[in-house]
Amino acid sequence: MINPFNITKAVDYSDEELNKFWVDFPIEKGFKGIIKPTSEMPMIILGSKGSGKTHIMKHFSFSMQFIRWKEKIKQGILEDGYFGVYLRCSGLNGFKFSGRGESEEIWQDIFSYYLELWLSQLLLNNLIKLIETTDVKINEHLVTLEILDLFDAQGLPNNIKSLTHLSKYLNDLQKEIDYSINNRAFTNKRISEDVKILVSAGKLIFGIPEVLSKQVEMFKEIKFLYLLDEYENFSPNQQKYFNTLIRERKNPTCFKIGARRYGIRTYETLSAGEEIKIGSEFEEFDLDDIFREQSKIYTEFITNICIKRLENSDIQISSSELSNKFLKSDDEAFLKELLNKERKHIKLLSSKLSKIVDKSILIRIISNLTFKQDVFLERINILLFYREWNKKRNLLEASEEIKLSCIEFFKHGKHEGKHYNVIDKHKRDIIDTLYRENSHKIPTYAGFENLIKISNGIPRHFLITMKHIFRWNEFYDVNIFDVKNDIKISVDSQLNALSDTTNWFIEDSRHPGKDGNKIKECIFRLCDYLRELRFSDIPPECSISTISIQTKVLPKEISNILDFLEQYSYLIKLDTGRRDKNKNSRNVSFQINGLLASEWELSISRRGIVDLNFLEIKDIFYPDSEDIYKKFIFSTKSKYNAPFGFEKRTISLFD
Amino acid sequence: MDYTIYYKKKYENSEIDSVIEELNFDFFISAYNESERITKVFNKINSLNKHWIILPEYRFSEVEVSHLDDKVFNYTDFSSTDDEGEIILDYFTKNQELFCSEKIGIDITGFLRPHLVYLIRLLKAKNILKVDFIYSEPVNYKKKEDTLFSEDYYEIREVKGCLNSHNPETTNDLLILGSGYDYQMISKIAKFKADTKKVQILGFPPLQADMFQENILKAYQAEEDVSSGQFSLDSEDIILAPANDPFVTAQLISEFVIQEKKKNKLTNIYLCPLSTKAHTLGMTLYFINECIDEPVSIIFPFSKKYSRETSEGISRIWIYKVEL
Repeated sequence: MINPFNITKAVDYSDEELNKFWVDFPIEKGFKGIIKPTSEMPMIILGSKGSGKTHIMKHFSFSMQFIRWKEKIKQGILEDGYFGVYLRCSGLNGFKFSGRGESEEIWQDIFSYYLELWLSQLLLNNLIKLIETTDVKINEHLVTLEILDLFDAQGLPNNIKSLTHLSKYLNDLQKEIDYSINNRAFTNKRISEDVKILVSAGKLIFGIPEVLSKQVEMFKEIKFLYLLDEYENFSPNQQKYFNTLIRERKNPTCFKIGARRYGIRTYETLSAGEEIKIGSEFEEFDLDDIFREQSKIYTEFITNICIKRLENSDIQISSSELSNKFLKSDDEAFLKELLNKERKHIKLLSSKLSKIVDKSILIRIISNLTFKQDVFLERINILLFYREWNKKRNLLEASEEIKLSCIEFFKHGKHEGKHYNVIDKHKRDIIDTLYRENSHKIPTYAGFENLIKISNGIPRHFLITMKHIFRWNEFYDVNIFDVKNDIKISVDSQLNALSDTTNWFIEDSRHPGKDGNKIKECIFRLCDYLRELRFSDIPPECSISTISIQTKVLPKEISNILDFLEQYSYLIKLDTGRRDKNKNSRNVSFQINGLLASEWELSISRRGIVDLNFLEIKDIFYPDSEDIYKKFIFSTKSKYNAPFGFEKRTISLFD
Repeated sequence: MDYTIYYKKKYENSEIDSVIEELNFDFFISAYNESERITKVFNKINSLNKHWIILPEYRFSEVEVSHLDDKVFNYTDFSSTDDEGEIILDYFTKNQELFCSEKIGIDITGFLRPHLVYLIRLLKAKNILKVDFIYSEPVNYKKKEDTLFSEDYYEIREVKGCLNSHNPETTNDLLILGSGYDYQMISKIAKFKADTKKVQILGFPPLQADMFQENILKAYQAEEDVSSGQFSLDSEDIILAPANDPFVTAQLISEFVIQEKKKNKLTNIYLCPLSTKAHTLGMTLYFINECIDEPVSIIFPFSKKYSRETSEGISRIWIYKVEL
């Protein structure tokens, strides 16, 4: 059976497949309500790699309109209210408009002219297809003449009488520019000497829609929607030019710009470097934010994507059936299993205590903390004991108090007291610690909803996990979607798939070369550090995976690293930072990406936040040497693990 | 066009002396690198004029190249903005007369791929049509599949002189990748031209038996970007071309493209040579013979630095006689 989750990128789908696999966002009006294709206000759509920008933007292109409406395309466009012209910016090969002995100003002029020709060809080609396949009546000669009239130059060829000829003419002009640029490599002849700019910036991009709106009945009320995808492929100067077009937009033209989160290199325009203003000149939204903030709707969206994929592989399944397919960790069974096993936490504590207390005291302490009926409560005893140890309490007395508290909680289960407080905040941490101490993989991450949560609002991360789940089951020769058998997806195959996806993510987000390695090392160090904290004797916070940083004081090198980690979704910036207790300034909080969290055995929930001070940040993100980082980790371990950096002391019965 | 009619000959390492007897050049060029397979051939070959070109990406210091006896064109200190086009064009302009020689030999082994591609494209543009290319195979790469070839990646762009005019329509674009060991660069290119159908050329038969396995290990690491996570040697999108045969490589690319065109109109084609130098030569031959007026370009992920010596020994030497 072909893996239904094989394809994880919109670019790997044909237009027909994109239409077939389209899943709308389950809110009123769906993505159309978010994108607002007929809105005159230009829009910048941001999103991480894999957030689905391309699929969404292509959905509004003419080629997809054509597939959706088929022979009724004319009525379809009237109903949609827009005519989509989709441009993938990388197709333009924007890298060619730089260097080669020409000034930036010259390149700006050439690029703007080239883009006029390029976008106009795309629009005309869509139009030609529309005319060829419908009964849309256009006086092509008249329209062509009006479009040619938009050119500044005189003496244009007078034999252009159809849209096909016009498109060909624009293509010839484009080829002349391409030829000049390429030929520079053999002749050293200046490109600016060769290229004659025949039309001013914006004249065709705005002008052709105006002509069509005026001359063609069906386009009277239609918006011409230029969809520019992968805007990050434009250089700052090229974006500056297009930002100017956004500012000078004229009806019936609309713009939707799709870019990665780091893709907007500038908001400046060519009008004395003024920036386009959000709210009045354009609106901007971030797909990641939408997906992350509306987690329930996002879960439904991902479930629908899954169901659609499976449907296309002839597997019918409801959303509840789908969720039930994924086994979750069975903590009760695990704790039960531990009852008859050696208690690793007791052994470790004994070993640590033996260095500072007499044997007789040790025996009494261990006896107080041992609670054979319930391993979970016993592990809480250990945590509470370590806390008391850190407070330099009398350890024997402390163990006796913990013993009483444990018995009290076991008998009455009141919602108060030491044990309740630990369970309230650290339940998951305690269970995960038990898994870890007993050399088990932590299975907490398994389960359909957890896998969605781990994807952090990036659908591709979820799809790749599903692809690997499918692969692992294929490897074990298990048909997980066999309708005849109620086979569940094992926790192991989910964890293996998560691990594969994490490896892919780390590699995929990495920049080649030394800089890429540096960034990778930074996030690895941060994850290592948080893992040390989470599984220390006295974790400073519950559910560790979030850090808080006072970004104002950071040097540029570290800010850049943090920006990079955030832009590439290694770190998820949280909406609300928190106020620094001492300095009354607001900090920025970041959560570790779910995939990394699962790999480093961190929490995927967002509860406790670890505050990092400047020195800690420096040692993690910009240590002067690897030894300095090692020392930092050593001192962290000493601080949060018994004997808590205290000097060796021996306590006797009479102390 | 049938590329397989071109003449090629191989010599085992033990026959290197007979290579010298058979080959007499008027003009011989090689790009300096400390690998034995480059220096040994240069020192032994018989030519009226011998030139070393020293490329800046190898970062040789003056002292390191001071021992070279023959004429040296050292571009180490060329400005960082000077690309393969500036360097090779400068070299060509300074030696234009020698390029009119009857028997020209170019050892492609030490050339960086973009410089080699541009040089061939330039020779074609300047109507220099007959050249013998020499390629020496290594016994092995030093760190097997973990050999590091390029460092400090900085941009993807066209190889100078190889950027043709493209179609605004991109619905059926094709990216043909010569896939070598540098899987990070392969991923980079695949991501850069994400909206293309990707075809990989793998070296088979390889230069050495274990190299194919090493190559596959690396190809797997780029599979998510190159083949939607479905790398398979049985795929129609894999071309297996002998790692040391430029002519078969060119032929297979040509035939593949013809087949693809029969299925559907191709909108644009991008070629990216990241495998052996023989594959690079083959890809370039295909480009200059069939693509000059087509929406086809050669693109490349550029790095600021390349490892100087990645291989050990010489297993055999090839002569490819080419008419451009």
